[in-house]
Amino acid sequence: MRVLVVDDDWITAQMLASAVETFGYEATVAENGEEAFEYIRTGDFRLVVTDWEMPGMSGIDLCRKIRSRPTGGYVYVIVLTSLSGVENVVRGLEAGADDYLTKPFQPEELSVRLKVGERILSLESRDMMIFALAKLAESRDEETGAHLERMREYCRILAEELSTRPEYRDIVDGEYVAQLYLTSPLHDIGKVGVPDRILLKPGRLTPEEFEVMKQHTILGGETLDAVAQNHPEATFLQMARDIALSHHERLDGSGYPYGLRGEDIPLCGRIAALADVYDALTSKRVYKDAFGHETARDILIGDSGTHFDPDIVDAFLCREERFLEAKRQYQNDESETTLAAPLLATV
Amino acid sequence: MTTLTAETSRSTQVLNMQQLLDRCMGNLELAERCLVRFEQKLQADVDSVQQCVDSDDRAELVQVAHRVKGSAATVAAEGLAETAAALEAYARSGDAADPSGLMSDFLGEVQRFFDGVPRFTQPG
Repeated sequence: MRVLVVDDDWITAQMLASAVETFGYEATVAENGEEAFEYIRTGDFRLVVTDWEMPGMSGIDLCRKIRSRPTGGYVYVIVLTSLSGVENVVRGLEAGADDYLTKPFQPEELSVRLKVGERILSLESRDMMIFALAKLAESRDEETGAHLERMREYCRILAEELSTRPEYRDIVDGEYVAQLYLTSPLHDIGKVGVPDRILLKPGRLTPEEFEVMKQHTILGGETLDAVAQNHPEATFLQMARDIALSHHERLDGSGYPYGLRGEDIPLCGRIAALADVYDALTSKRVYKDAFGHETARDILIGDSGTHFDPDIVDAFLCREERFLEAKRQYQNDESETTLAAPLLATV
Repeated sequence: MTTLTAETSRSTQVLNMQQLLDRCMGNLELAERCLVRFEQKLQADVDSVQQCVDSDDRAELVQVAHRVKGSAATVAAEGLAETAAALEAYARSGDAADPSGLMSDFLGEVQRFFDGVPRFTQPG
């Protein structure tokens, strides 16, 4: 992995670069913030160790610049400072630094900080891979557009609302919300096993075809379960499996694949069910126009207690504005005309 | 007027060679290159510090003393780093006291460094 070392002091820069290379990284030295930013813009550097105080663009200014402009991926920044005190640390972190190292640096500490950075970056890579996998599975169905982006936002909004309620506080914490956001895009991963003639059929499915289509929940669930069994420490895989298996279950037991009822349906599946249906209702399909938000809301309310968990419908009603914001943010280009009017009328 | 002095001990090492080598990950050649570079730049830095003190340019003194402190600490020139830190703190504080004692301590450490460093950088 490449590490960009930024320091106007030649001695510190050389020592840092030497230590970084001894730890197995590839070091490149920039003498100032401007030069560093040019390197970062190439997209080749995602781990940066920068001095705080430099003439011209300081390390903190560099952090701000990195954070204010989109780059290829997250850039992890460790600021090197002889400035001590909590206030300075807070100032650095507020500017977008991820970690800091006190001058004169200790190689052992540098090594640990770099490893933390690598770990954080690898998590981002994992998240991107999961989403890429979900997008790949979804790509066969060209109609769905930004469905996955909206779906995970809706899931997050619902979970955040539930986390504020006493009865869910012990279950839905920050980690739960993060895992739901991460794994909900995998809900339809099993559709890769559904034949094109059924998945892409423009009209209504026959009962036999629908039986095949229903298998996507089991296909996805079993695939993810096999991975989850081998990696029990990766709890997000268990949630991904539960969502894939249960997002078409209904509270009254009339859903599929197993006809689970009530709380036998995992909470993540109940949340994903509402998010998925809301997005399907408010999106244009070959066989239907997009419904407006008000219509979709009426349908969700009407199905509360039968299809949907009433608590989750209630969470939706409490966070309607956030749903509309997310919907606007990830509007499908092709359905903009259809959706813009009802959205604007609602807000 | 009060005369400030840096609270450095004469027993402070001119150069903590072990720390320098640790920071260079045992690379003696790198340690020597860094020391030579530091030594080459030090005289110019000393002149700048003296100029700042003479003209009471506190803002510039903060910059120069901070730079010397950082480099000196990095090459493990502990006494020098301490006296430079004292000058930086003085410049930041806006203290009206006479900095000649601090300057004298700093110059003393500079001399100790120049006297001592050849032992580390010359072969044999």
